Amino acid sequence: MAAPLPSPEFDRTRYERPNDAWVCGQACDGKPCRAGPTPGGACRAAPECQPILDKGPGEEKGRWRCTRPKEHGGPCPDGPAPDGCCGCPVVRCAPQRSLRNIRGRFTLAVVTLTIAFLLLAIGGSWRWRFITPRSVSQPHQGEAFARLARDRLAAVNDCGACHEAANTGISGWTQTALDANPGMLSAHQFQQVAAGVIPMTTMDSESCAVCHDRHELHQPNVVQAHSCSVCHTEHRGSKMPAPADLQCAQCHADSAVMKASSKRGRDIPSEQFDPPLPAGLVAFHTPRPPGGRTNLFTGFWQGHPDFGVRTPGLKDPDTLRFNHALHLGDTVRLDGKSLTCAACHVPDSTGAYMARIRYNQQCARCHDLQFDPVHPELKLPHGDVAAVRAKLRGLPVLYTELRATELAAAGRPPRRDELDTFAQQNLARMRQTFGSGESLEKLVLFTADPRQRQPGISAERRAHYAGCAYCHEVILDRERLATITHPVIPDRWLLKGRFDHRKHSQQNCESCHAVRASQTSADINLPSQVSCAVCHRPGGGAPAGCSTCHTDHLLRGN
Amino acid sequence: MDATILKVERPGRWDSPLDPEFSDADLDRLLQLAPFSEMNPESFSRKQPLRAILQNDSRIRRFKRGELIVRAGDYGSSAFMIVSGTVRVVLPPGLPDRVLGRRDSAKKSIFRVIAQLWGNHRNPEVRTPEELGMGNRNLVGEGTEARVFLQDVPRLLDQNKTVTIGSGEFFGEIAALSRMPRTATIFCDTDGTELLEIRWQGLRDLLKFDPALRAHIDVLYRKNTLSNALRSFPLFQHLSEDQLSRVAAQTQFGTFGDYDWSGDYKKLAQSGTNSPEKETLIAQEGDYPDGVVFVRSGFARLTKRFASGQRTLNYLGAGRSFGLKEIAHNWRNPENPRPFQFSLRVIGYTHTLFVPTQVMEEIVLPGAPKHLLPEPLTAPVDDSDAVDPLKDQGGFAERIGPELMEFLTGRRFFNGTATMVINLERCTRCDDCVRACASTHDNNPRFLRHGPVSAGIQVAQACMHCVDPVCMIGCPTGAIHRDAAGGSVVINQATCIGCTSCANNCPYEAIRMVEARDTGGAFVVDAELKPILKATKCDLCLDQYGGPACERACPHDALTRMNLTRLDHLAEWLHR
Amino acid sequence: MVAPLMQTFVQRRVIGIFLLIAAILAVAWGHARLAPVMRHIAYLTGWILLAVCLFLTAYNARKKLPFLPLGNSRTWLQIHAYVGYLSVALFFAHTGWRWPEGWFEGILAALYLAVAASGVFGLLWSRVVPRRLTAQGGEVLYERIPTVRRQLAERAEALALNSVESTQSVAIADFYNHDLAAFFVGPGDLWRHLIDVERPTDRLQNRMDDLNRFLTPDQRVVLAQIAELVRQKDGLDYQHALQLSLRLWLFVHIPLTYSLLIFTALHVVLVFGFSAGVGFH
Repeated sequence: MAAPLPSPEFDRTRYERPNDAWVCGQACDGKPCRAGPTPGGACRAAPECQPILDKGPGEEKGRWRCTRPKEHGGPCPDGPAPDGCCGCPVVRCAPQRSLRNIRGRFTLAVVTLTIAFLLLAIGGSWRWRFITPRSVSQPHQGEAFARLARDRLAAVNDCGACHEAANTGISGWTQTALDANPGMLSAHQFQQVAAGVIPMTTMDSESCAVCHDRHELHQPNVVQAHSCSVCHTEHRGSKMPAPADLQCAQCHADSAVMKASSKRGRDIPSEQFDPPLPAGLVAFHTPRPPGGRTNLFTGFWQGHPDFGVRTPGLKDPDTLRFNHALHLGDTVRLDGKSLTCAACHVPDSTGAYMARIRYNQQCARCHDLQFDPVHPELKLPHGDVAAVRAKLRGLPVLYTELRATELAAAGRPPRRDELDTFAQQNLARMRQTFGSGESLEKLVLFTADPRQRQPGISAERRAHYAGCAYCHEVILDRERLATITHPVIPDRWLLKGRFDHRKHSQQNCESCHAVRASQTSADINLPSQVSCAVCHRPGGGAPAGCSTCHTDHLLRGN
Repeated sequence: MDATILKVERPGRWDSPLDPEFSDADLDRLLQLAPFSEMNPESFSRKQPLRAILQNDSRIRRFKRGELIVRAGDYGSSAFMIVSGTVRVVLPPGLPDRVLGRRDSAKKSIFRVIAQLWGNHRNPEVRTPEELGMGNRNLVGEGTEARVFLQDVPRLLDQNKTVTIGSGEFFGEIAALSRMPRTATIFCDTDGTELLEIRWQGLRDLLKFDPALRAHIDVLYRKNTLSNALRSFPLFQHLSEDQLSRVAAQTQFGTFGDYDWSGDYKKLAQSGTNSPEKETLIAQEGDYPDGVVFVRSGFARLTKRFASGQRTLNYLGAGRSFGLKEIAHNWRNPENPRPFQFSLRVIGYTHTLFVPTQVMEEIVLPGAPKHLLPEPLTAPVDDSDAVDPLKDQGGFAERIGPELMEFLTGRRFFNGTATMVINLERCTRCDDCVRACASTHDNNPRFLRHGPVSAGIQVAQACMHCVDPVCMIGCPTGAIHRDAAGGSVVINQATCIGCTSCANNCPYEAIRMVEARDTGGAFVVDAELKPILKATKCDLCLDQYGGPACERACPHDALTRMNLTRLDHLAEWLHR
Repeated sequence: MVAPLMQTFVQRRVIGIFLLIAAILAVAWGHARLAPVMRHIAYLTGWILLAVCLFLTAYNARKKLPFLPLGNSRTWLQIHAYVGYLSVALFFAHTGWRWPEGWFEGILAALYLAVAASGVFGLLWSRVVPRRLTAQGGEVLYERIPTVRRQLAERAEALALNSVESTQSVAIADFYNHDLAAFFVGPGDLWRHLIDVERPTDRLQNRMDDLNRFLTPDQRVVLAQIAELVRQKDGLDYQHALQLSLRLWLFVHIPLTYSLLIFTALHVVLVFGFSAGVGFH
């Protein structure tokens, strides 16, 4: 690097004044005048001196004398003009702003432009597009929603449907902001606001309820009704996100709130807590715990109580007898193979749940309601005691029809005597085996296994000749001989949340439903919450948020 | 220019007498007393006759017992002669500050400080009528401040050594003339003591025209001040009165260089022949050490031969000594004597005390406390290069570097106690310092952010508040003076007559003459329509809070006000 | 020698960076810890960010009150810079590391980043340029540059004009008129000086070297004098360009700061005006 340049010479006898807003217009030309501009930026140029008239005693005219001080060159060589004017007038200039002064004005200009831009941006019809932080969810946008807002809420526009301020002008925004509770200046509440103790971003639930009219807010024992927007946050894109766990935890992790809820829930009939299901579906109602569902917890994997159906001692009260262990064991075979769960349990039309087990679809394949081991093709009807009795009382007709069908199949014309003989022989055989017709009826209805006394029948075929009581509760009825208790098979066990079998298709059924050990239909073979939380936890590979199961307003009261 | 022009009378040399009420009767009485009665009025000049000097530059002040007259450490520009009564001089270590009733310099009230936000004049260099010297002239001189009395004098007399002096005696003349702080506190001993206060301009004129007084002052100095002067050096503090007077008797004064050195320096700087080799030698490297040189005021340069030139290692200001190392060494090792290891040269003006080797060896060194004695010299005599000259003297010269050392010394920057030093490698030239200065000085900058540069360091043209303030020489009215408390050099605008002598004297271009204006921005002129000039410079923001605004306003840590009379601070600052 | 302990720049930087990292970690930790339990943490970070922005702007006010004992400007700048860096962390904590989608908030975020970026640039530039200026030398007050420029131009012009008579040739005068007159009058090429490549003098020096071949010894003396003035003028242009740049970056930083504050004020109004409904029934 070359040696540093020496500083250039300049007039060092005067101060430089970078604090001044104006600079002499001649300064950029290198020749500032002595007086300098006024603070307001006007030129103060004047003649370099103010000549003095020297008049000797007795002299009439006198002489004008230059008074230019020696610091500025002393008296000028030509001297003042004869009329007493200075001979060296200073050329007037247009003072220039200093760079810093220009910066100040530039800043002012930018500030003005910013304000103007903002006024323009929020003054026109595009203001909503300008200020909206992020698009609202699909259902809450568009012309259709705007029409709804206008018609039902008398809102000026679609924003006004939720935001009161949007129905007013800029001053209205400010007023609303100032009226906000807690207000902008209530600093002591910031922490609470931030913590969500005081919900800030609440919309008027009444606005929502205008359209979402059948939605109750939560369980009937909620002590503080929340605005919809507390949980359902808008301006998060076209799909509204599910309520955050944090929001659930605001109450469910707060002992005071839970205690109050528990207290309030005591006086409310427990059925009000149970959600209705779509028509035709059967629910398994679990009894409400004494304190209500007010356990304190912060997440599914952290303190979430076990499902109600898992309450110790709780049994499936159904009267239908069914042994899962037997059916899944080696004894029972279908087409030579052991049974699988899917042999009976098939998904319903949605695929999320399993279809209800029906006799005709699942049981009848094996349990055919036969009664004559010689003629297994003869079957009793299912589902009606009267029909069963009628069928048994018409046995001669049954055998006659059977023989006629056989002959027809062989291509032979039926002969009356041949048919009668066939019927008589069989009736006699039946009577010999089962006694009277009445006793046959009783055997079929009340005996679990009417064939037990028949040594000639092989073990594997025995079940095929089961009586009603094999599966059903059959009650003696004086009038109609017997009544069969109608079995009730619940379609839904977990009523507080949603479950989707499709999403668990990779799991083995038995990894959740421990049915291989279940020998009685009183067993409730649902998995525990703990086993769900193996996967449904942070890092468990499955979503763990509250809204994974508790969706929509399944939880509503009535 | 505006039509309304403020016309004032041009101030003159004796426009502001020290005591406007000085009566002729008092003056006549004074002229009857020695030494004035012995003076020959004929030897005075026609423009400055004895009577006029006394009338304008002196006054008679009366004191009560216990009243403070001068305080040690204060700067004062007046000398005193006792007309009647007695005063007591407190010998070192002197009275504590609290007893002396020291107070802060008058600061602006907090409201007036804040009012600077809107109250500063918008026009440059506006002067109020008071500042223009119109109306009541509050001329600077001692005694204008509140009087302070010592409490419980008998106890003070028990606890401190004092000397009583009586009528006809002079005191304060050395401090007034050499621009040094007062060496001792003096308070009034008897009620009704009358003192003649002579401001230094007057004393200077008296000395100029009267050789007898000149001799008289010298005698007094030896008798009164020398002991105190010696006592101010730690090495003499353990001596008894008797020993000290024996030392004093053999001490020689040395006044080197020129009282008006700044003019000399300016000429040297202009001719570009400013080199150590041309400066007067006080002691030479290699010579027999015949005594210790104690620097009383001014500066001397410590050099060592290097190649074919002289390398500056340090500069010694007041309180430093030269040759003690060698003499102590020779005293302890008489078999292996050493010559002076360095040379001592005058820079500008140096006032020294010279104590001969014999006196040192016989009286001073034997009883000296161990910690005051220098480390013995280790290097052999003939191999002077073995002592690394840069490592010596605290190693500051090495850390500062020869280029900057030569720059600081050559340009006499060691004189400054509050020199504005700018690190140009950090300075963004934002001028925040200048604007801050203007804000605190009625919208007027008081320095030029420009100046000589060396090794990336700029010494800006701001008042350095010199140890030896040459600007004060020749001020006819005493408008430029040392602030009573801090010793900063300030200019009283009311008494400044715009003669430019301070601005011309200042070797550092730190004082600028400005043309005074009225509040409308028009120049104030005298009857001859010539502008009224005022000398202006940095006042170290004495009336503000928080210290110099320039330093506080620097965002980049580039600017500092530094005491360059010592090198340690600079060395450290450079290596931050 | 007992000298007061003076903090070195390295020490100061180490302490500053340490505190900054500690503060950023505290913000990150606090945010990570509070975000799951504070649904509206944006209110907390928002108000803190606003307070920080106001504090950063207060430096400007401090500069306008040099006479009040409000602390040294250098301390302010240090804090200004480090708190500025910290505010970037706060900013991202506030936005949740997401670029706002709406127009208004997008502009607000862009303004913030522009102010922060210009500040970082200004600080770096303020550290780099003084070294370059000092190495170049030719120290001059910015306001006096026009005066010096004019002096140099007058001296160069005088040399060129006088050469006609003294050397009996118009070669140098022609050269001056054709190649140098404009160079001496104007402020020079700002950008070339700023990026410090291909300085205008390199070109001029080549032309002068070319001309030199054809000159008499007399003319060469004059040309050498003019060449020295060219060097000084180039140095002056360099000072002008760099000193101007040190002032111009504030033309971005300061106006945008006030724009940002205005946007922020509206942001607060919108946040409160458009989120306040009926909290509880």
